[in-house]
Amino acid sequence: MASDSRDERDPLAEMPEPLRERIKDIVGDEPIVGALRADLSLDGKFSEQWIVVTPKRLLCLAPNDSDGWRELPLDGVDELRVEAFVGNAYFFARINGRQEALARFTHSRRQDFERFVSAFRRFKEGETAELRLDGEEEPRRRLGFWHGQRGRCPQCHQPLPPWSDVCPFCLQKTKVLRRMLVFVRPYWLTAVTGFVLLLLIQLTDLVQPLLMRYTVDEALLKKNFQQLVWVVGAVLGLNLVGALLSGVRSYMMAWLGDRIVMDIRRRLYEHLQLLSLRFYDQEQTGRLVSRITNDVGNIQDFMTEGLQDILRDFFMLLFVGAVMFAMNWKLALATLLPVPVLMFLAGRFARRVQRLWHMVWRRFARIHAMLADTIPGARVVKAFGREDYEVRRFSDALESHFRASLRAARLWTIFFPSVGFTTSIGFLVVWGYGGYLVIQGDLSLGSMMAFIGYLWRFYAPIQNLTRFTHRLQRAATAAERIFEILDTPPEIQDAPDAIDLKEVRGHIVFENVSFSYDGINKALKGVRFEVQPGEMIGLVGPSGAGKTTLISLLLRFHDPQEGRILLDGIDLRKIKLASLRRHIGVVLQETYLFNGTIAENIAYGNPEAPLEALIAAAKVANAHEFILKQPDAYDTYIGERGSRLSGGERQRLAIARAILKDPAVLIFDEATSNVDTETEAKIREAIENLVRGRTTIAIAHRFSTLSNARRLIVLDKGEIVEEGTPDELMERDGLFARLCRMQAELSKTWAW
Amino acid sequence: MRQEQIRTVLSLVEPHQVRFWHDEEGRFCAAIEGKGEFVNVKPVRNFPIQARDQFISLLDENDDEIAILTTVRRLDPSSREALERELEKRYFVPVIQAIHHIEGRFGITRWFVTTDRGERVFDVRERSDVRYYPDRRVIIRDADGNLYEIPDYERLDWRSRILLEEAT
Repeated sequence: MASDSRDERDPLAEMPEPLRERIKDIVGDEPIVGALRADLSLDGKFSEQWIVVTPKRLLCLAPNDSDGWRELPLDGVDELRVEAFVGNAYFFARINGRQEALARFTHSRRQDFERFVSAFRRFKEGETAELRLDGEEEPRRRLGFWHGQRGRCPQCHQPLPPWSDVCPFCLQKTKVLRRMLVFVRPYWLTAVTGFVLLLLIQLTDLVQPLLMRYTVDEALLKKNFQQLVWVVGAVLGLNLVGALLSGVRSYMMAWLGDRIVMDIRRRLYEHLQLLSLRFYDQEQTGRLVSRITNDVGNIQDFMTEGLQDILRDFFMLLFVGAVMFAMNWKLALATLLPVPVLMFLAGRFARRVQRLWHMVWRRFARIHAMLADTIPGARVVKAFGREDYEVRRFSDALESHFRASLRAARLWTIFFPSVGFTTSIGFLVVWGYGGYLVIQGDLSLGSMMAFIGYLWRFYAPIQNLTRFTHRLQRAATAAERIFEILDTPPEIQDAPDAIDLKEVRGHIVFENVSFSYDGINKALKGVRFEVQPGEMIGLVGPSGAGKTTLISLLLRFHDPQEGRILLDGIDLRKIKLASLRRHIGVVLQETYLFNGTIAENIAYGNPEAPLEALIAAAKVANAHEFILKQPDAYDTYIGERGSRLSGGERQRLAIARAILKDPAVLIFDEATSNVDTETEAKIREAIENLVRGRTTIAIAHRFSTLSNARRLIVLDKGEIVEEGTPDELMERDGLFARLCRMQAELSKTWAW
Repeated sequence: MRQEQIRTVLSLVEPHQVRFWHDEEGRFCAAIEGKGEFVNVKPVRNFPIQARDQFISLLDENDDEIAILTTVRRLDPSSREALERELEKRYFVPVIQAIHHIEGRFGITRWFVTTDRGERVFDVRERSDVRYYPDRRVIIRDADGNLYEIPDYERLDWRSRILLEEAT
């Protein structure tokens, strides 16, 4: 009955048994094409409904409706359709001209229905000879691969994290702890030496109760002064050696810790630079910053001290336990009495504490994110007079962090006193039972005192080990988050056979390119056009038409799902990213300048450019003049994001940056910011200088800028709707003409 | 903006100027004073969270806006019933009544809840998919894009509240 072959899988496999029997009764020996499960009833309750498809008919039935079912002959169905709403969707059929809702389901089930609808359409249009559903695996996986945002892992069916294509549930089998050790490996010699020293230091401490026993039994009780001097001298020597060794060890560990932290931070930052833009869109910057700073710090503590402490405590437990049992096994057994209670306390609290710590961390990250958000935006906050609102918002965040910390603290305040009380029971046992044994003469007084000394050293590691659960958990959560980033593969990667482009002519072809950010709504639909080397084309269209998307594809921030983009006849996916981006220059709408000098910002793409090239580029970009007016000319420090410059100035610096890079292909996203006429003329001149002789794709918001473009491409809702020279397009009187008229209208309104 | 300016920018209609019904095929229809009758009208809430009964945009088959209905209150009873039925279809946001259990790793959590539409298990992809709004309202978006609402988290039982707090 059970067929293992994937191609021949039973379409009713997921169906509850009684329902399957009923269906077998109804269809008889008619083959079953597929079964669709809806998870809502038509009146909007969560409940199962099934649509079973045979070559002749659709059957609609529900498991909890024991005999009700209905059937629709397929020839009567003109059209099937899924309509998606907020939180749910409907499956409609048009039967003999009348529309009817057959099923209702949440978006979790929607894909199956969509797939069936398109299979049915292909069948109805005669594209496929028989009605069949495509293999299940493939489309699901493809969806996950392209659109991390909506994908689920093809194996375990868990949702994938928003920025990643790799399923952490399937991938991360290795223990986080073991993985952390990878960072220690390069310094294993230091780590091992540190540990050996630690054991030696412990040993100097551990022999002291034995010396105490010797003192009591041999020196004090026998009143032997010489022995006493000998023992005191030995203890002094031991302590001196211990102090020396721990000094050396502290320094070694400090070195190791800082070294490891540096390595991890560097690895993280390197990896962050590789990740695609989507990652940055999804993650709050504050959280990322906190990962690089705090989480790494937490790991440092664990990997240097934490891990060694655990090993040390384990070692101490063994040693002390052995000595105690050797001295008197009965008393030793009695002192074990509180241990199960101690272990229980630790086990019980560990999980809860971990959850609470995580929560505290998240609250703290929220505070971070809020600061990263509002402090750079201080100008806006003040301008709109929202200081009170921001303060309130911030204090809400503080409050919730405070409450979370308190909850964690509350747990600790229960935990520690319970542990303290339990250990005190152990001391009472040694006093009571040990004293009894001494009185009976079964135990020497020195041994009993040594026992008390050891008890200290026995319970302390147990307590520590329990407390380590928290230390370890904290480090593990921190590590988990760090590996979360390190495990995120860059979405866009160089193909193994990618080539390094040396020279580029700048011939660009878009071949039937489609792209979607979320897998459902297409931002670009079958876009095709060609740009000759040196040609300038303008991209026009209302906002949301797909202009920026088109440019991101050309820069390979994303890859198209269908079609391909060719540069000089080579698929972009076959070109090394670094060499692709070397040949493409961008002037973006948001001119992003870094905290540094004007010269550094112009040379951002070409740090080795000679100084005269900087000046030349600035001159061509019409920036030279204003730069010279700055107090330190090219070495003027422009502040964070160029805050000390005006909008027009920043734009010209960005143009200078592109000119210096001298790319074969230029992408130009004109800023919408309104500048005065004189500045605009200067910028226009700068642009003309910039585009000369380069393949240029310009997004223009003011159509006056497009006068240089011989050819315009008009986009609307992700499709090319018009193409031609400005004059041709005006003549055609389509979307472009309409947009132009609107803009003329607007400038009239603004003129007075 | 001044009131008369708003009036010129938006084509607002008052409840007494509109009538809604479903035709025999179940299509949602509207008759709007001064604009005529429309079939397959899509009602879209402008403020699905903060004011779900006010400012309902009425779109035609090409998604162009015909008008904005200021409020569903004061509609005639049958129109109101028809509109609410249509809105129920278009906005399926179960109300979470109790959270039984939340488990998760790697920031992805699985929630076991009881809603006003029955029991449900769903996955939440990241913590920011659980959004807090003023008045202690919480809206949760699951990994498949479905929405769930908690109208006031302080009115949840104690256990659910702790679970919610620890998960967000």
